[in-house]
Amino acid sequence: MFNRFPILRIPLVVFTEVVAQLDPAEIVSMSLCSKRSLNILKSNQLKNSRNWELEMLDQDDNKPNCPRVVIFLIDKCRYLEVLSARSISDLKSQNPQFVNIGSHRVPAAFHKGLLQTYWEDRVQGLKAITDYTSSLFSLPVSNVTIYKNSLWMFEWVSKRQTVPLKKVFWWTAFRKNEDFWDDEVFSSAMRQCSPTNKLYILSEPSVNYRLTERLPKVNEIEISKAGWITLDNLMSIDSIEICIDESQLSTVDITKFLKNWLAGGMPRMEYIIITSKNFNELEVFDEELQAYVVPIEEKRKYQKNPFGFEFEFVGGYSMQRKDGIKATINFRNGSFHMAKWND
Amino acid sequence: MSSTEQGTSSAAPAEPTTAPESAAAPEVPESFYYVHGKDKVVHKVSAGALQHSALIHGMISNLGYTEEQAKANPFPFENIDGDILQMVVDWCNQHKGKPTPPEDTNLPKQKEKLFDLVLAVNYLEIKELLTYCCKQVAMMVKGKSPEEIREIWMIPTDAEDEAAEKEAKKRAGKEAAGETAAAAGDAK
Repeated sequence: MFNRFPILRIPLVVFTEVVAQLDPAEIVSMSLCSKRSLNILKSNQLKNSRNWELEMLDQDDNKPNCPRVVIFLIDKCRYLEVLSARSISDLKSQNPQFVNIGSHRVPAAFHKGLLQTYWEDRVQGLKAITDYTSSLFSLPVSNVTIYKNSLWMFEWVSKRQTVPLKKVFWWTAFRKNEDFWDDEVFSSAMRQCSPTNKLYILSEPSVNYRLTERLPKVNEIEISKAGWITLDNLMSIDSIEICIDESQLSTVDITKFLKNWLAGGMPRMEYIIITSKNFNELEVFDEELQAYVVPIEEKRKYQKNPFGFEFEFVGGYSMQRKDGIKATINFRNGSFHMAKWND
Repeated sequence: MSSTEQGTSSAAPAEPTTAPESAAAPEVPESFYYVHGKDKVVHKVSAGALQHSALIHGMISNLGYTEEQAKANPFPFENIDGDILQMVVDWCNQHKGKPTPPEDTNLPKQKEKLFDLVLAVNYLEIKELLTYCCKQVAMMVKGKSPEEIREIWMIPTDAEDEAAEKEAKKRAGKEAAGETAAAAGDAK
């Protein structure tokens, strides 16, 4: 192995090629070596970040109390951590190295390939490392993962950039079922949620929670613990693709939902999956609905985009609205699927 | 001027056993060119091997040398050390007429010369070898901390950069003052 290599003395075209071989975390580490290395990187590694998305997240199941910035490699569909902002009370080293994150000089430790910075204020730390990496990679914040104590992200992101978010995740810490969001916080998140392309609600309010706000308009929505979703909530969703999991919806609700669709409701919806223990396929089609439903045998696959929902209908029922738009519906293992066909 | 014979010992293709002799295409003799580096040692390299270098390939296309003319006029690369040019020529010979695999194990072994090799390969425009060299350079800092990266890649600290800048300004000032004094002397 060679000992040393004067990287700043090679031609810029070669430098760019070398940087293209680095992981985002390594680029961050290099940028922290000096002001000069930061400036050279800022102006010479756009080739890398064209297919990247920047994500900020407050904490998660595997790393509680570890707010951090993650890069999503779109073409490889991979997440890579780049920089974290921990509480100063977690700092174990007696002689930490110090790094400059924007205007802050903070202690840092290198652990398993990830640079951890330490802050008196967790929120300030996460904001600072997000601004730093966003500026380094010339990327806006694309994705945010929020927890019940991090709704500040919505306002902060909307103030720092005009580019809308691509994905918003609402998460429940530590995947504990008892870690409910307070109902007021849940409603507050619903009101404050920034405009986004995709919304994933993996957090859960209390059993008695009732949503009075409208869900934000998105292109893809996934609600994982949807026991709180009512028929009215469902029919007010404005999204192209919808996934409602672990709901308490009934067969009667599905019947009403289908009648609403036949009457022109949810015009943007192209695919929906709803799971519930309460479904009984045989009871869905009352007399009124039977006039619109035809049993079919054909196979047909729904997939709008490569990273989106995918479902193959095998048989099921075809429905047609008065305006001629057709859809296929199917029940499988306690789940209801419906896809609208645009042909 | 000494000379090394590089890339000339390609084995003759085996005689086809099934095709009639009359169907065999006449063999086109391979043309050779000559290059030398700072040490003036001349390397004989086939046109096929030199195709890896966009720079030399362009020079060959423009010159239209006969073999005799090529021998009498080796391409001079005075900015490339002889041993580095030897490495490059070896690599070009090993990869003559075939694409480089993504993980090339035939990279020249003298890795302490990587910096000079990178500059030479970049100058000679050998894209595939440059990509592989860049991978090697990147590998040096895989999983390293900022402190380690600074050390391995010889990145000066802010304080060192500032000191160097001050020194450069001081030198420039002295040079300017010297020029002014010289001009004043000339005027007298």
